[in-house]
Amino acid sequence: MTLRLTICIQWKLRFVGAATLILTALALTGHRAAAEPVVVSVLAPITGFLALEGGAQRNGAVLAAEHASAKGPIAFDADVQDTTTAPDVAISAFRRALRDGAPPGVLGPILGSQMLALLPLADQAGVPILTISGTAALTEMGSPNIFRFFPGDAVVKTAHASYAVSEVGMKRPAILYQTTAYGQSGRAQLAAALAKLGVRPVYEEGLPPTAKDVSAALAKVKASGADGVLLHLHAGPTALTIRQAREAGMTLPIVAGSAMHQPTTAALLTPDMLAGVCAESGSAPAAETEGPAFAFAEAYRARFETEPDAFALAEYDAFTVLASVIEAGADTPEAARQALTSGSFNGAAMTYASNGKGDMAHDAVIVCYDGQSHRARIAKRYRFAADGR
Amino acid sequence: MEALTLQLLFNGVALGAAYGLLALGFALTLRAAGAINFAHGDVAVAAAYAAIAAGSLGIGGGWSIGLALIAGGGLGLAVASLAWAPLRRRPIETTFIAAIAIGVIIQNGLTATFGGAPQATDAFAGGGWHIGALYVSAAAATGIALAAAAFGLAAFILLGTQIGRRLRAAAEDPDIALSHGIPVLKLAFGAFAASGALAGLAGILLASQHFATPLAGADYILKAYIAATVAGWGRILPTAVAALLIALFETIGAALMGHAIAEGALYCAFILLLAFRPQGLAGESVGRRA
Amino acid sequence: MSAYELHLLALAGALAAGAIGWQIVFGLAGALSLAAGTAVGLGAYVTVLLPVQYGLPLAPAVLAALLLPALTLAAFTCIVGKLESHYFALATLALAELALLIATNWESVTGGANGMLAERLPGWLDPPARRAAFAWTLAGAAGLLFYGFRAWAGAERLALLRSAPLAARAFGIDARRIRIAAMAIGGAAGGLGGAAHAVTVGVASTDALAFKGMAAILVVVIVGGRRSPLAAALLAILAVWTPEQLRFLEQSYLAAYGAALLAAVLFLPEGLATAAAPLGRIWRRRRPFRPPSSPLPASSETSLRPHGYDPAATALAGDDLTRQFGGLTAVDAVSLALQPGRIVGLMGPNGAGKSTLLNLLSGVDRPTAGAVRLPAGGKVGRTFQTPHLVPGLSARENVWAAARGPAAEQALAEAGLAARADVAAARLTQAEQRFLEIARARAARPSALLLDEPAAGLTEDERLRLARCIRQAAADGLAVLIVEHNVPFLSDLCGRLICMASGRVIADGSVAAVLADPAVIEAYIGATPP
Repeated sequence: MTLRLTICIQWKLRFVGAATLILTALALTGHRAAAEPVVVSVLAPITGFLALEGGAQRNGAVLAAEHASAKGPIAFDADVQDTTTAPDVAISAFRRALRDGAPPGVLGPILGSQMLALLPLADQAGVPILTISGTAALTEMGSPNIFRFFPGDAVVKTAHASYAVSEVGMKRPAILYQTTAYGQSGRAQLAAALAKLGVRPVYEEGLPPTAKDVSAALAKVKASGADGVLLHLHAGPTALTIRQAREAGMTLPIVAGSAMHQPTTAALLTPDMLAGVCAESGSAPAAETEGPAFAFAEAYRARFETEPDAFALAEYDAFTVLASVIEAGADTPEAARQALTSGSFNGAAMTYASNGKGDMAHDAVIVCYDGQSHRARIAKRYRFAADGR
Repeated sequence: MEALTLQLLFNGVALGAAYGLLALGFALTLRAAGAINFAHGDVAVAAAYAAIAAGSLGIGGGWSIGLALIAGGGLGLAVASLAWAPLRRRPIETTFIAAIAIGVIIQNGLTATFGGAPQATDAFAGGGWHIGALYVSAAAATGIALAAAAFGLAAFILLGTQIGRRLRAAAEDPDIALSHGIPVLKLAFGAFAASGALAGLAGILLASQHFATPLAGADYILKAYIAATVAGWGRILPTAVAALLIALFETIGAALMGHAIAEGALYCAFILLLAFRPQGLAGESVGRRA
Repeated sequence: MSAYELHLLALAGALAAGAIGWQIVFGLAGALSLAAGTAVGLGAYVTVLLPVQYGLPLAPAVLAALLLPALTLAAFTCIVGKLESHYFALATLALAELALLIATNWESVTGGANGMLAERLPGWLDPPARRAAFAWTLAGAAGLLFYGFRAWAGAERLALLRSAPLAARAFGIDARRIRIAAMAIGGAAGGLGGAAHAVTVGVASTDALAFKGMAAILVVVIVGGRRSPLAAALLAILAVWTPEQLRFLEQSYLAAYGAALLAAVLFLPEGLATAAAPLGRIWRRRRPFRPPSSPLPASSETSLRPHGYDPAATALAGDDLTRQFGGLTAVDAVSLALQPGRIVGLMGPNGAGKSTLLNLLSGVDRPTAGAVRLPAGGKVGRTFQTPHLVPGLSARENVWAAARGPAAEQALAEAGLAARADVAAARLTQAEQRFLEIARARAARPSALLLDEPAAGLTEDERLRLARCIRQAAADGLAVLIVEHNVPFLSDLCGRLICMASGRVIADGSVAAVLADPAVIEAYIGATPP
């Protein structure tokens, strides 16, 4: 502790932000001594190019810990550990979380490639790992320790495709996806979901996250005779693509990936550019006007002074479910795994229950923008059976 | 297709304008101070963030451009005093590493302070004009004009003034320049400040058209480095041409081959250019020194 | 140790191997490559892909992880190997970006951005301690590659190549060949690092190829030391451990790591290894260098005779040598022949082409036309106007760049430097540095010795010693060519004098005849107005 303090003091002058965090950390340490909270490790990419999603993960977990502690009887503490976007750092963070013995569960990072690297370790240690990553392969590897609290790509991409085909009426969609782990996994699922509906995309292109001008891709979309565009891109590229499409006078309907449901993404565009834009997501707390998701959104706004997204809510639910399982007496990995596998849990976003492979979340929503404001409204809710149909 | 080519050409010019500013600033410190400033792209991003932060406090709109210039200049001086001045008697790689360290600080400092969400700026007027099938956004047009003005000013200062002559003398041989009473150190700091200001302008331009994210600098430095090298480090017109070519790879190249292959083709073309014309497109005089 | 600590240790081992690979490329061969991360990434991919895609066992996969980066980087260096440092850096950076792009987009083979799980790792590698041991074994192998390469190329010759490339060329050191070899061997070491990384992490992903990996290696080598595998190993542990210790700073911890790194560069600019060098010196003092115990042969039975000495054959000749720079002809169809045991003076006004001629004769520069002829097995030795030495190496080590053994000791003794042999070149006086260059040239036992203004800046005493030294060289059978402005010095030593002006030989003959030649007087008066 003394060493930590010395290091803190050295950096304090340069990093005001860091100093604040240290004070929080110290406050938490004091708190810990008083109430002996159960520490739950939360692994999240809070630095690097997924810091937006990682930050949502952190906020959701922190809020859940505070709510669970306030409810009692056990106090919880979210110990957030950065994973960056590299698998080796995720493994370091995971092994670190297991340093003092196997905990009942660990909250894993949102990044699919990191989760793939962590799964063998979770199986070796026999520790349940609760994730909000959508990467389809995660629950197909036969691991008994994966529990996914965000609808997998198979679920959201089915919603994505069927909304585009059945509600918007696309018959000749074009797909633009990101050449990242997120984009490549989602695109495969999207193509499969479209095929089930008997629709073939007329154009597909992968965009690197650094692409600055997508007008060429948009022109090819136009030339392909597409009657709508499906996006599966990260936040910045999603906004960029929509803006450049609208500036080029392209009025085709756009159904985007979950990045577009995030209020920070909508804020990058003017309301008129958002006309005709919809997005899939696991949930959309900022768009809710009543119910538990709305209550979560209000609490989140009050706590962090920013709008919540589906990732924050899913992480909140995952943390809350793990806390409830521990409070019910499952304080070993085995007991927690048993409880998570067999139980059904009412979260703020939806009801969670395993399909036997670890997929806990089976609902998805589509939000749409009306072209008048930055605010999304829920256009359709999808509820799939636990077996994925 | 013709309309598309025209649009891609225009977008390429707008992107090339920003790359050109970055490359010019990069080459400036390379020549005046012999420093490879690997934090140059991060300086551009940080300057844009500074302007965006000021914008959220109410000092936005056109002010943002001036703020980005000032913030960039200040950051350039910071890089000079932290990563260059204390190390200038050391092998060149030490400055290289120190600049990388500053880049790490900027990237993660921005993430910690502003979060990972992309940020937009209202530095340039929104909207634009449809000229036939061509869409000219006001922001892009202003950006091109500003970059052209910056290039003109740089050409005037470097080629037509006493400061420029001294700067070139210092770049050729710092020791001889020093013995002739040229304040080499002061000039180098000035070059860092100017380089940072150019980066700041590029940063706010890029942010207005492509949003700002904490990690965007890594891509910027690569493009600036390539453009500056192809142009022969600090020659003004070739720098503009090289930056434009790189930007056209990203627009027209992407239209012809797709984005991923266009990017790969850019690197291949660059490697082949180096292999067969090691002195750069424009030929150059300082390659040996550095 | 906990599994967590062992994991960090294993990661450090992988990083150490990668860093040692870059020490070979940059520290030893002086090539500023930014593709060290690419070697590691390629190694990681090969280690995972071959077992997963083709069912190969681990051992051949690791061998392939060593070979593929080595071959790739060697082939690449064959294409761009002649580039100057910053251009080479950028070319390698472009290669690194290209590799990343391919790994990201060639989904069917590499698994795209998701990467690929190492599903078939042998079971004995499951315990974290075994993985750490595996990683450090590979790091040790990388260290062996480092020392192997250094022994092959010669530490002093590499030092000469880095600090005095022109002198290196004069000694026939092939910079391009060494660079290609260094990229291959360094790439192999980096590939071993990649294999260690893949086994430690259990996955190969695009992150292994991203610039972050290169940056980590840069940090380890620049902060640790450019030529010390041990320092790299230490720093690798520190570089993996430090950010982990700063984790309590949450989102700011990487920024804090950046600040720590900046501080390290500012306060340890030459690296930890140099900061710890005084310790090394104590170690070396305990093991002083012992010159060969056999007594030096008397100078009559010299060991410094030219290789393949033949008193009847021409020692060095140039036929119609021409060298043009752009439109300027610096040397214009010059022919000359130097005989063993003879001392020839070369004079001429500034810009006459004397130094260019020396460069052509010594192989430092190539003629535009014409040819240089040497007897079979013969070499050319030379000195420079300003000494081209390795400042950090001792006098003896500088001579070792040319040759080791009794020849080196005798050359030092004849140059009057026997007592100063262990002093760093940078600490020698200007005169001593000139003598050291002569000693270095002599040690290689060349058939001809070319001296570029050797007497400039010497005192009368030193000039006498220099003259003795030159006569000794001639007595040993060398042909000596001296470029000098000091006419009395030349008249004392030389039997023959050549005068150049505007790139041509305008007079060639006995000293008296040349000095009296009207063309020579004209050239001097015309070229240097009083």
